[in-house]
Amino acid sequence: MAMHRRDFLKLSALAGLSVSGCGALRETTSSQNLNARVVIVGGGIGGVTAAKYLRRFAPNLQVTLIEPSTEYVTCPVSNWVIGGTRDIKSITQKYDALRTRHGAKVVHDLVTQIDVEAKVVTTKSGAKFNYDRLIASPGIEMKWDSIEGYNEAASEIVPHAWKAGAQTLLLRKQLEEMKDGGVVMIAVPANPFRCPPGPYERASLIANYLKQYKPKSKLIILDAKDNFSKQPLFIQGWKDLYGYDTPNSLIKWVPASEDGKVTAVDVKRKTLRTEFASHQADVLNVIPPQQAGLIARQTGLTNESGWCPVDAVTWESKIHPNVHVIGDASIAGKMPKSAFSANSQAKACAAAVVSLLQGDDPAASKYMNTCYSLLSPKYGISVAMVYQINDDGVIDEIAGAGGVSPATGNKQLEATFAENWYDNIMADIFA
Amino acid sequence: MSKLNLVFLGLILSPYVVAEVPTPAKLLAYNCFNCHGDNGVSKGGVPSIKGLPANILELHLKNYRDGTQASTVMGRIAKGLNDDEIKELSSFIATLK
Ligand SMILES: Cc1cc2nc3c(=O)[nH]c(=O)nc-3n(C[C@H](O)[C@H](O)[C@H](O)COP(=O)(O)OP(=O)(O)OC[C@H]3O[C@@H](n4cnc5c(N)ncnc54)[C@H](O)[C@@H]3O)c2cc1C
Ligand code: HEC
Repeated sequence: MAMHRRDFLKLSALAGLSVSGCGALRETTSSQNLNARVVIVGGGIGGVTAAKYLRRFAPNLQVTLIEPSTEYVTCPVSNWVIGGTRDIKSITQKYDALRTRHGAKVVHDLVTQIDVEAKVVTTKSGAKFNYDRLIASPGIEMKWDSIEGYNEAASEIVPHAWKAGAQTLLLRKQLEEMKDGGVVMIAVPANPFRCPPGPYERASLIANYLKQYKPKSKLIILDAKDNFSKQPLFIQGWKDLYGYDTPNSLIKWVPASEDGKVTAVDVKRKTLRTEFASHQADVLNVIPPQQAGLIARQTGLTNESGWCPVDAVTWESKIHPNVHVIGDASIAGKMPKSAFSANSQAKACAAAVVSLLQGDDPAASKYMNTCYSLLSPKYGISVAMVYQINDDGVIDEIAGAGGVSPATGNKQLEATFAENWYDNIMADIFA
Repeated sequence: MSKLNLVFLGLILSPYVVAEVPTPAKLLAYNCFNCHGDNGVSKGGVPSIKGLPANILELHLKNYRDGTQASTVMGRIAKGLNDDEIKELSSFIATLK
């Protein structure tokens, strides 16, 4: 029978055989279970979506997802927990469906090494996993000490709460313990960082809590930027809800041009330093500058920016072949670092990985993002976009598409949709 | 028979070799599930889209796109889709089981 190289590749990849040299065969899986192996590093938004959709597109693939935690506390909606209108249990997701319904293998361990030459992953417990292709969605790591005095130990006293879980609960507890009349301060980094509207949603929902329970208190945002995501809608909402721009405003926003950039923290005394001033707080939340998760840097997948350059169609690393990077860790053109983006990228990456394993050329697709923010439990706004890959191979916004909610939009309806969006995207990922 | 041929024979007889890579328009349909729920079944205020016939989906999307149908967010999303994409993703969603 005559077989073209392309078809041969297709069959051999699906059978878990890899081709080395001219037609020589190396069997890479046990003979009863003929299929290719994809290892996924990180069981967050990007990783779990990729695992589920890989199995959907190619039910015979061996998909192994490696993640240290047995439960995943989502960052989306964690600001609502901080504001006191949701509990942490309602934002804790489990891996059961990925195992039982979708047939992926889930291993709870930390990946300590990715050998990109041998295509082997090693974990903390010493286990080894061979892969034909690897997808990494390791999320972010804080750039400790880029703000003087703010390192991992300091974050146990002054939370960043930019990874959800214990950090979320710590910030919530400090807000509950604060006296009425206290000052809450949030330090916000420059772009790019995870969830661009997140700090302002957090400020809003803390203000909502203060307004109800500690009305003499104030919230100050010290920002390393002069502009932020959905700014006009946030400002309008703060006026509608929290007296913004009046002498009694609950919220004050200090941009970089007005000395808003935080340069140092004293976690014991709860003070923040900017270039020209020192600020005393009762509750402090420092959101530090960020970079791709540690394993991405250890594997040499990052460039000088601290993030991972990838192909916009396949999400394959531009540095190491056969390794794909999605989610917050990747450089994704105009797409923001959001759960919606990570989910959209994961689906395209899963399709591309199956194509590549079959020896086909992956097709370019469009991407989507929407970020909802709540300014109070009944006041929602959103920013949406559809993206395409431009002639330079960069993910760009489609002219005329997307944008923010209209100023006159129905805030209460959008708040309902925001809440439902969370339940629906979580079902798309974890159910 | 060489080992190579045996391997291929095993493959051809195996029921598991089918993989279906979605076209770009189908991938867009999977993006709808972000808001419309797992396989298009919503758990709340956002309407479900599973079970809608292709022509109804197409009509909604085109009406959202040109503004004849009011929306909070669908208009902004539909403006990023062209006619061919709308047609293909609508008939795909209509076949979801
Ligand atoms: C306060 C806040 C609110 C947000 N709200 C929204 C929102 O409303 N909408 C929205 O779209 N986005 C929101 N986001 C952004 C969203 O959380 C992220 O963009 C998303 O989680 C990115 O997914 P990811 O897969 O890249 O990373 P993650 O979801 O962080 O997953 C990374 C996973 O990798 C694991 N990991 C890391 N290193 C290793 C290793 N070496 N071995 C094994 N596993 C490893 C980690 O344990 C983690 O589980 C918010 C973020 C914050 C902070
Ligand atoms: C950001 C969330 C979001 C995304 C993404 C999204 N939708 Fe929607 N969709 C909504 C909301 C919310 C409504 C209700 C109308 C409104 O306010 O926009 C809706 C309404 C609809 C309706 C009308 C259903 C009915 O019975 O009235 C259809 C059809 C629809 N969407 C199809 C799609 C398709 C197809 C996609 C993917 C290309 C998609 N949607 C992506 C949020 C979303």
